[in-house]
Amino acid sequence: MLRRAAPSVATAEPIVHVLDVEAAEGLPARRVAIGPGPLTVGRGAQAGLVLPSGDVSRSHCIMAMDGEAVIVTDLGSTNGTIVDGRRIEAPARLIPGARLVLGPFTLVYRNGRASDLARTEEVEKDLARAGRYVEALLPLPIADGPVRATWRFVPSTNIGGDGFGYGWIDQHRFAMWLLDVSGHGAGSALLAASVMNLLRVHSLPGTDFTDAAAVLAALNDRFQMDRQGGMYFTIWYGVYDTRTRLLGFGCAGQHPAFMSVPGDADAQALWVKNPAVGLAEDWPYRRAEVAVPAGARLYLFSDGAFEIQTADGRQLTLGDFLPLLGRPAMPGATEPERLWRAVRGAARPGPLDDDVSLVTLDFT
Amino acid sequence: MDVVVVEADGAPMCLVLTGRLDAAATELVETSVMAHVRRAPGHVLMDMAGVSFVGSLGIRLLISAARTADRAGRRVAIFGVQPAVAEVFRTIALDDLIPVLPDQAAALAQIRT
Repeated sequence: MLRRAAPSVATAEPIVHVLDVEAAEGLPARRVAIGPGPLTVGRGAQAGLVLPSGDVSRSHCIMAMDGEAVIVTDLGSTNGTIVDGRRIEAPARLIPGARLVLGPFTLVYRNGRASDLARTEEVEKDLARAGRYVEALLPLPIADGPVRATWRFVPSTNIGGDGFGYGWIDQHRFAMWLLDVSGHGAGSALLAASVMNLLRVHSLPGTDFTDAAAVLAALNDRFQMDRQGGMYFTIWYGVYDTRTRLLGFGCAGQHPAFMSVPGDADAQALWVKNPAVGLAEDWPYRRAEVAVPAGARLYLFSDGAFEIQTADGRQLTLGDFLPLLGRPAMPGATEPERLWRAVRGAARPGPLDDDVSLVTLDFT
Repeated sequence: MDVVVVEADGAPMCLVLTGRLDAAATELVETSVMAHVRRAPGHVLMDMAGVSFVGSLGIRLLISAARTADRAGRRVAIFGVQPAVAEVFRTIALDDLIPVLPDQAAALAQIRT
């Protein structure tokens, strides 16, 4: 195909300034340009950007250009204008990527050439699509029967590569697993999706899916890092047998799953030392077994649930997360939802760096 | 993330890493670390006493370095790892794949056996 040559003289493309309003309160996400004139933001119909919520003041704040910078000024709002986690007391200059919180709404300030912004938006859309693909593979909660399951999944903006699943292998045996692919982005999501597909439909020829060590070895055989663009993944895989009440499990490079039993103070760590899948060819993966008392609950979660940074800059670890498991249930919320709210509350404001996957399985 | 190369006659090359080996930093140092490992005349030691964090891509870099050395009939050993990083190595079983030792003397002894 013939293409007309691009004009050889590059014309300086002007810098544009935008606010990306994230979806909230039933409003879809959208992008608003900040032009040369001031932009008022508020609940009132006369505002340039209307945010319909009782927690947003009628005239809440105003954005105005000062040379090439955008200055935000709070207009005496009731709940304040929060910029990157701090309520502003005086007009503030926005840095690219700044997050403004007004009531339930989050606005992200960006600037750049229109073509660059459009390209970034396209990449973000691709990532969102990759994330939705992984989400579509997640199982439905199970409300009845000898094993009940529910979960909460919060993908990060740049997709962390988490995946999980569970289901009956046959009449007596129930499999459950959670994986986390190295790195971020669409590549990690795609690898997560291919592994999830294999595990969902048990399509590793010649592999006994009731044997955790065999499953890990088969995955390791299939997904060597050198053949997967340098990506590898960690996984916890377990199989519960209702006849023996035994849970056989294997863990490849991941932190433990935890089992809490009524009457016991601390949850028990279920862990076996094995390398992550893809790191070591022909590794002899090992498994372990644990008895599952009636009323036991298994917690499976990704490291995104505990490797979080707090508002005061501390890096939390697994040890900070574990005490949450022993806390009382939250009325009206599932256990994974309760944990997610605790994690969200402990983390600094803004989106989290990694996917958060929280799965609970209850054994009657 | 800093990488300093210490080379002395008759001793294995030592790469002194300092900082956080997170995704962004790993991307920055990956090429140079791999180039040093490739051109090293013998075994390679990695001094990680100054590394406070190793992410999943950092793990990948260490494994790639060890594999590259292995293919050339040489070895990589790591020493001086901080407790939080040691915990990550243990979880992912990196310490079963690459020798991780308390200090340089132990790393040298291990690599020469």
